[in-house]
Amino acid sequence: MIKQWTSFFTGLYANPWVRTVTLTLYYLAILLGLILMYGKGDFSTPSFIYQAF
Amino acid sequence: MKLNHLLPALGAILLVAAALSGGVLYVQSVESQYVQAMAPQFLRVNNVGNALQKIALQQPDRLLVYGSSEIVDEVRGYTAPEVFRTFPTGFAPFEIAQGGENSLILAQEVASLGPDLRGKKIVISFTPSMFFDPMLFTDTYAGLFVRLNVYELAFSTQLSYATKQEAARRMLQYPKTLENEPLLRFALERLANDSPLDHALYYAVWPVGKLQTIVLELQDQWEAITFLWARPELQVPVPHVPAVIDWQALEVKAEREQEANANNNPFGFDNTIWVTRYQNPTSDRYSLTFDQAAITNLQQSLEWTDLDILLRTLKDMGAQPLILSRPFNAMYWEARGVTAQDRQAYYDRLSQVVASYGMPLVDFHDHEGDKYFSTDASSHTSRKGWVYVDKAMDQFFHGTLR
Repeated sequence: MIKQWTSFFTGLYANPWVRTVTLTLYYLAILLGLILMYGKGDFSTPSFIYQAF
Repeated sequence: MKLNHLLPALGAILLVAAALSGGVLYVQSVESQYVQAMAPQFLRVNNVGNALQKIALQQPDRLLVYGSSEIVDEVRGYTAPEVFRTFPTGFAPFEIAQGGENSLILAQEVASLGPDLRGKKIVISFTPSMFFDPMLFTDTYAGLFVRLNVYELAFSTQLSYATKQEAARRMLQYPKTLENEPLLRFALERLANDSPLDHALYYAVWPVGKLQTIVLELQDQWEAITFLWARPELQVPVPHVPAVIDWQALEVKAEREQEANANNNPFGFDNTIWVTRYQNPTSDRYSLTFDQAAITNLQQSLEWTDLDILLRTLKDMGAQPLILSRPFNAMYWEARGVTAQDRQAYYDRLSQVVASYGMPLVDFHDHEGDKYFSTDASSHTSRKGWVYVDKAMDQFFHGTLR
């Protein structure tokens, strides 16, 4: 059963279109992961000490 | 084989770039709706990023006002956001201010507005008390330091190399703020030094710096939109009600009110301010610290260098600014040893510096003997003073300032 599935996916992956789409989605997932991890900036500033002009 | 990976990777990058561009356009349209509807007010996000400021700059009926505590320390009833709340004469201020801001911080904020500032009117507001200290304190600068703005300045294409160099030299005097910014520190150090190698290295890292600036701008867009989403009440439109402002009547009313609220001290300060900050000499900052050195600072403070950087920045960016200072409270400062000659030297220098850039200056120096113009020793504007400030802004916006 596993062999059958492996063989099916290997065959599918051999198709250039499927491979291109799969790899595009793979890289897209990596980029989205990076954006989620680092996308939110840190806009906090150190505690403010007011120099009363 | 390599091409098999390269094309999907490129495709993924293009998809992300397209999604981000679409997202930014959407966010800007939402921000634009909010800014159009928004009543004049302070928003903390104004002080953090620049997304909303850039949107406000696009609105023909908004006047961007940058300043310090004289803007924030509000006196109810006569401030610009209150007087121009319903756009009576066709505009309303969009104020960006935080207590303690000095010229260097203002220069960073102005630089962050980018090419859209060219040809636009903006107001730069400050008080003479900004010049009392030798330079802006490190902790104050650190608290006002906004990474995005400094990146925008350091990697700006609108500013001349010389302006960036002057700004870099000053910013490097606050090394604490650059501890976790190796790229920014490297670029500022290269700018500050003047050798051909430094120039070459600055231009070598410029693309990376610009890329980092774009990332920060995207983060700022996200920050701004989440801020707005959390405050739907801001989207309630403010009605535009055309009206003629009777400045004389408003001044009489404001002066009467100021007089009634400032009758427990000889300087015309608000009663509560007098009691909490001046009546007891041990709580009067100036009584404790103001000495001959502070008077010398009025001419020698590094704030003059920072002001020059700010004016150069405004000129390089092609802005049409109004420089709006305030008068000393002559009675209070005479008692502290700041003579008429000292004060005049300040007014003269300010006037010369601003005139050398061909920019209009309103400093209300002829009101320094006006007891009810300031509400405290730091020249924070009183009810009556605000009427004059409002009128100056109105005339500046409509091109009738003399």
